[in-house]
Amino acid sequence: MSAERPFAHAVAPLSGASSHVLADDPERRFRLRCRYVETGRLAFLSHLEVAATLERVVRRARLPFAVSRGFSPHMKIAYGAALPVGIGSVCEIFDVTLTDYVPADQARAALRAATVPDLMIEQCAYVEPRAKAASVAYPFSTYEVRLSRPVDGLVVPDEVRIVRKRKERVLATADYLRGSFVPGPFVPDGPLGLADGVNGCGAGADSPAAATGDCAESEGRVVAAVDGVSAGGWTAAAEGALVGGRAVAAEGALADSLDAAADGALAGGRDAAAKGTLAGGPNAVDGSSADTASACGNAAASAVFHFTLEAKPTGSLRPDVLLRAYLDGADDVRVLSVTRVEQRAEAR
Amino acid sequence: MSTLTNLWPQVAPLVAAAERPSRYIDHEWGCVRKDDADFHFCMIYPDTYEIGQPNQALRILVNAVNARSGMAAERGFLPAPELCDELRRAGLPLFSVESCAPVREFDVVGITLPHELAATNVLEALDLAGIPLHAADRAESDPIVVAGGPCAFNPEPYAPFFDAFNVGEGEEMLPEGLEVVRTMRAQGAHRADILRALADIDGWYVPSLYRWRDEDYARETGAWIEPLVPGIPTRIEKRLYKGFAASSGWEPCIVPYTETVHDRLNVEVLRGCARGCRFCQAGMMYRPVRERSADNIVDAVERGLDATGYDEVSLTSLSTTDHSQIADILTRLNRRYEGSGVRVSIPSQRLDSFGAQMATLVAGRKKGGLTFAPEAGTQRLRDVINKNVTEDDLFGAVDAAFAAGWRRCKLYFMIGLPTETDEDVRGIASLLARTYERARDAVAPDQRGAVKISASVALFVPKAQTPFQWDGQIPPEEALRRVNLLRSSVRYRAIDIRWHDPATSFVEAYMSRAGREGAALVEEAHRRGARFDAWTECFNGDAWRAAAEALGVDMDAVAQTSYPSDYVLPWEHISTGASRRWLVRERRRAECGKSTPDCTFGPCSACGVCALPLQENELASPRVSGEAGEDAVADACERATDGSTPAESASDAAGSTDSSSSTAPEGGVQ
Repeated sequence: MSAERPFAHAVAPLSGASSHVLADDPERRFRLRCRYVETGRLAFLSHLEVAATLERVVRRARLPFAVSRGFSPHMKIAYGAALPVGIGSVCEIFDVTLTDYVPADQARAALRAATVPDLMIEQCAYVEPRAKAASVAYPFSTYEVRLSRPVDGLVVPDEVRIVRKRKERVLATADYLRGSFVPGPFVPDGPLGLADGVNGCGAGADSPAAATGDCAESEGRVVAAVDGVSAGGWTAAAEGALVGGRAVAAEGALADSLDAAADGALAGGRDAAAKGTLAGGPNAVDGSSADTASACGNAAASAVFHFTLEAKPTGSLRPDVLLRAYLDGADDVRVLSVTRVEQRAEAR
Repeated sequence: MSTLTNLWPQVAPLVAAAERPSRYIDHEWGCVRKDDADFHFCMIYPDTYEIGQPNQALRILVNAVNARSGMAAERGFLPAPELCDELRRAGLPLFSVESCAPVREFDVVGITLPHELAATNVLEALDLAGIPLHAADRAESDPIVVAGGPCAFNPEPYAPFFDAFNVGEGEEMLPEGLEVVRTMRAQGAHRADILRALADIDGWYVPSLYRWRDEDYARETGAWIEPLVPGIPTRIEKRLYKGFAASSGWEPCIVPYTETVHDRLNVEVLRGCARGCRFCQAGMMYRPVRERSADNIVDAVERGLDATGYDEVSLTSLSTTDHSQIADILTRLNRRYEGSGVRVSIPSQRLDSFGAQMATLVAGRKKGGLTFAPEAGTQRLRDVINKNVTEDDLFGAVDAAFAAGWRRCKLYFMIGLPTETDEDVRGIASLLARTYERARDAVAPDQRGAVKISASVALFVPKAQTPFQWDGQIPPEEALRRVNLLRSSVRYRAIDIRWHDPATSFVEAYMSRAGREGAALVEEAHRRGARFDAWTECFNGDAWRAAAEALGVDMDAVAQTSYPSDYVLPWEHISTGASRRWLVRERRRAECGKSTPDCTFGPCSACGVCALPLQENELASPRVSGEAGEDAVADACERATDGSTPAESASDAAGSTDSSSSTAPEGGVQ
């Protein structure tokens, strides 16, 4: 006899899955990894605000989430590396542990119906329960920057001075910056998303048939080895989001000057960005071989450029801090947007 | 069709540089856009987003206006002080949340007056919006500016700043008035004519239609106001939302991104409180008592949690544990949400063992603090203020709470209550000491070190529309002397005393009792830099004092004078429904130390509220007090387990020791 599932009254399983299981049976845990975007004005959310919001999205989606059994019970949900306030993203991650198998596409649809367009869940796939935590799985982040005008003659600083809690530290840029500033918008290798490089059932994350069939048979041991996350070939299909029958403020974030770039990175904005590259000059060389600061400066003589930072276990260099140091002195240049466009497990 | 200007492109860079920008970005889950509306209403809470967004009035009224076709309601808040300054420097005005539109472009602007210390923020909002501060100076194209909320029960110190006031519950009165404005504006009516029409709607008060007279006039006529035009009421009766009890407890709400002061689902379980504490304005204002049924509330919690994704629900009201079906409600919610990580909380506990039992029902393993409000230290003074609780009630509550696992307890007291002596102040210390001893003895010896009792001491503020409205406040220096007397009388280290700055309570008392001439002082104080007075770090007592000196206003007299009961007060033309005669009688009974029973448990005290048609207490079931109440709990708990499956019974049994919910230590005062 299985005991009553503690959350059974709170959530109706989305699929036909009707197995009654103990919430704390680790063999019956399903770890769903979700990629979402943080666009438009929601780039202003802090990590804690996003975390609290996503937890509410999962509750609203009525997914059969697992609840910890500690002194203070809470949802088993884990977030990717924090994104600084003001920086948008097309490749954020969270993992939520489910106690019932729900086909990934069904989970995705439920999550999409429970969130706003600027915090849209784009992909869902199951990952191995013992896979690396989302927060440390992808230490390499690529950021795309859009400025109000091309800049020339600026130099990526060798060192960045940071003050935290009144303690001043100096970080060596070379310890964190992989390659250098690359002019032009970021172009992923191919349609790289969560599903890319996924083995086994995870590959079926986007094909309902595979997901429901095979995964259920393999006792939910869904294996997904995700190399990296980016917007890849995905478009921001925000139109499908209806919010509880109530009209939602879906007013064009695109119309907002500050938001335009973040959205552009998702949609047709690439063309516009390419023009920026031209304006910046012809020296659009990949920065991977150009290690000296001056070379970086020339390479980035563009209104649009991108760079990759590595997060170290000991700490990381914030992209906005690096950017501020880079633009120090160029007072008339406005940063239109900074967007995390890719997170990778390994350096390119 | 009017369209609103979108300021976002100009505002965005300032927001980007501001602290916690998520307060200004709109796009929350649940917010409503009505792009087809031809009439725009902006509802402003005169403080920052994190304080105003959870406000019930804002939520209810925005929904009520949006429910009308063609009308759109938006929210507005004051930006944080630094952003207010940044906006001024950039030449940008106060903007609404949804459209990021200048507030002055709206047809009607509503500002809620939640407490006396928000007065300067009202001017900060109007000034930042670029709306003339004085209603008299507003042009035809300016919005009509309306106020409502608790302070509308003495509207006079705000009167020059508003075109109209809503007295009482706004659910129906506000949309009705907006329809009038909309229709008349469409017909090209003049502002003055619109205001005259608003004065005909029940609950609407248009101060510019009345001349402010003096004490002699008041003594003769019974009010300080003299109508300037024929046919307008000389007495404004508060409006009551008669459909409250039958209406759904699920009031759609917006889920903020940033953490707010009440970051949870609020379900209003009942309105009104008839306990009759003689200092309490809320207890007079929200009469009669109207309960929503247990079924309604349980359904509302379920729908609300599903729609919002919140993991905590608070059952809000002035006295939630007085709900006739509270045991049933809590038992059902506990069963429903056990193991889901959802917490149920009640804002304050009734001061008896029943209250403690109810707290235990929702607390689970994580026991924070319990909050009780004995208000006074001696039985004599508790009888004076009609706080119908005894030491035995308090000790019963403490015994039950500490035996059930609580280790901390917070008690609310007031000093400076009418007739208070040093004996009463020392009585607080004595009561605290005995409370501590009871608590200590109720727990295992090895846990005694963890027992903490804290006391929060507030200075009595004479509130308009209460039996103590005629009683003056003690001067701030005297208040400090009494606080020090209390502190030196406390014997145990485990007892912690906190008190409010008497200087802020002094401004509260002034604003609570001032007449129309008080508005000039508010304006001058604001001009001298007073704003965000409710924030300890922002309160600018110097600005108030300097303003009073400059204008020759005697703030002490307004705050501290005690009047005979036949003195006509500046808010005599505004009525909560509680009659003058009853207020005078309650004051007299206070002087004799006689208490008056709660009419929802005992006989009617003839306050006068139920004299009007369709206006009376609406209880979901009969209320029972004391031990009878405890039996009812036992019954409810039994009923709850009787019909359940064995598995559910097992989880119920586990629930008493192993439940997952917790009581949030909210600062409610009973």
